Amino acid sequence: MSNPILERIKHIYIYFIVWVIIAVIQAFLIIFATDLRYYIAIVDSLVFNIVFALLAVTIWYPIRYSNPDGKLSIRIIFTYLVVGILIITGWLYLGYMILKVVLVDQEAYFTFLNDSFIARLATGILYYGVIMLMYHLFIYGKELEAKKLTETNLNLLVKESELNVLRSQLNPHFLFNSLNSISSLTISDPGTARDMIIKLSEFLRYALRHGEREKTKLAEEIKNIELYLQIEKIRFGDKLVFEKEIAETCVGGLIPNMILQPLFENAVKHGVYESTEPINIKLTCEGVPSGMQIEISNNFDSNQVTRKGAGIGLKNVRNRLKLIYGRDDLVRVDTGEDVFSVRLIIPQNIKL
Amino acid sequence: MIKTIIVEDEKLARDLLKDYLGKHEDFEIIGEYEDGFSGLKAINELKPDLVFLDIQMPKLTGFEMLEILEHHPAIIFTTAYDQYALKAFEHNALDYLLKPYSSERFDEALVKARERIQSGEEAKSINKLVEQRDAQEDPIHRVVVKSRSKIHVIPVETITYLEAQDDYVMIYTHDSKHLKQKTMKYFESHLPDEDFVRIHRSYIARISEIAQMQLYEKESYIVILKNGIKLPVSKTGLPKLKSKLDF
Repeated sequence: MSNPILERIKHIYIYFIVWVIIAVIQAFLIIFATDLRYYIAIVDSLVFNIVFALLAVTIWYPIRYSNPDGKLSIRIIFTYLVVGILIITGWLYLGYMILKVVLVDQEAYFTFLNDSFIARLATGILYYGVIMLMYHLFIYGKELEAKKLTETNLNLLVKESELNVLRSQLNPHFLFNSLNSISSLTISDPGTARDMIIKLSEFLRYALRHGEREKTKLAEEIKNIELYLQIEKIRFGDKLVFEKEIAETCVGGLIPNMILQPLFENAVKHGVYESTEPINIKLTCEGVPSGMQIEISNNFDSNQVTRKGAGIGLKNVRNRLKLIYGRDDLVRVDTGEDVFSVRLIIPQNIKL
Repeated sequence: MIKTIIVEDEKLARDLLKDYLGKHEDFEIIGEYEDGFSGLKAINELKPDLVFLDIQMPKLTGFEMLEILEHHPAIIFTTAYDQYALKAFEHNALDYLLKPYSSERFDEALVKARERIQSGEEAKSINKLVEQRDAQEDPIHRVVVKSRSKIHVIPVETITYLEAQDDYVMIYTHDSKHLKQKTMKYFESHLPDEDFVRIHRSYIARISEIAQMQLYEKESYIVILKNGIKLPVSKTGLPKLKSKLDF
């Protein structure tokens, strides 16, 4: 944060105009209360107020650097006291010096000057307090603004990841290719075509239901994954092999809806689509102290050169888990010589 | 007879194509292939008049095949979801079928194909198509090159630097070099911007491969790569290099 007064030319103008107004008011008070001449009263209040105005600009720096987050503590209060004493002493000293030089031949004025010391000291303390308050209000306002901005950004992130989830559920490539396969099957094998339409419908129904409930039973999620894989298997035949190993403790566990789908889509996309050899996709789940550990692995053609950036699906999974569980250490990815695996930890509420 | 080849990785999709094509007696299927490599080889050897080409396939995509084809047949693309990429090619009279497609739509594509094969303009439009594809500035992840009878797929991660050589670009990796018929401008706009920098009219270098930058004569610089290769830096290359190196 830069000095709020020096931040903009406009601020500097306003700042000094305010001080001139204060000086004029003070001059009127002096004229009203004493029988000094007008111009002496004006010079007196202008000198004192302008000097304070200049010194007050510097108060920002000790505030900013001793207390960057705007909170109060004993140490900070002590610092403010020391700064206050320095500023006020400096101000009075400078004010008296200048006036004694400027108004050197005004005997009556010097008496006034000496008599009014206590009043001036009190004014200095008041000014100092007001300036401090002003700076702190400024810091507070700025911080509030920044907080609002982070909040808006966070909301945007949530929306965006929700949108991405939706998009990855209804992968158009998968949909249209499946429809094309059905179109082909209607000629050669109408029974399988009907079977595929029913599977695709069930899959879509499950995908569209997302949003009603955030979490679902693992068993249900796996049932849906199997639907998806059966559809892909109609298309790719023996090129796709699926096996699973689910521990008893996992069956009733809760996981975010459709969280596994993008990972299986990746396995199919980078494994099956890119290979001419059979691809094994394996799903395992076991209980760990913090919840369930789910692993999805697939082999891939090791001669294959990556064509597109993997990772959008994976990034969405990571974002969603972070939003739901507030942790970003739940996803682990391993790329071996010819096996790719993703391991998820899904925290469970401990209940027996 | 119009000699036809199908390159498509999915059996059901091939079955459908064959079924639709069965009604047209002037087309003869001389081969079907499941991946880009075998498709490419077959097209160059069998020199078909027409190819049905899927875009997403193992080993080599349909677009990558086009870049290195020696024989240029008429092509009908078949794809599920690349219509945005394909819109640009409509004007080239190369047709595309969005899956799933009707038999009527398929017949329309064949009408166009017959016209094109009889007029014999194929070669020109394939080059145009590759050019248009290049004009879309998607970053590339690999480069496909052909040397004698071998096809090399070079992952972008392995490229250390590139050098202009007349109408070609020499691509250097840690342990090999390959000649590719493309322009420097193409590579400058398609290689990931955060990894590569065009330091000279004739050179693009991988930023992480640059070991040092040296003053060479008055006001002219060279960079020395980690493998000891020295490359000149031009007047226009210098500010780009400096901004990439935060210097």
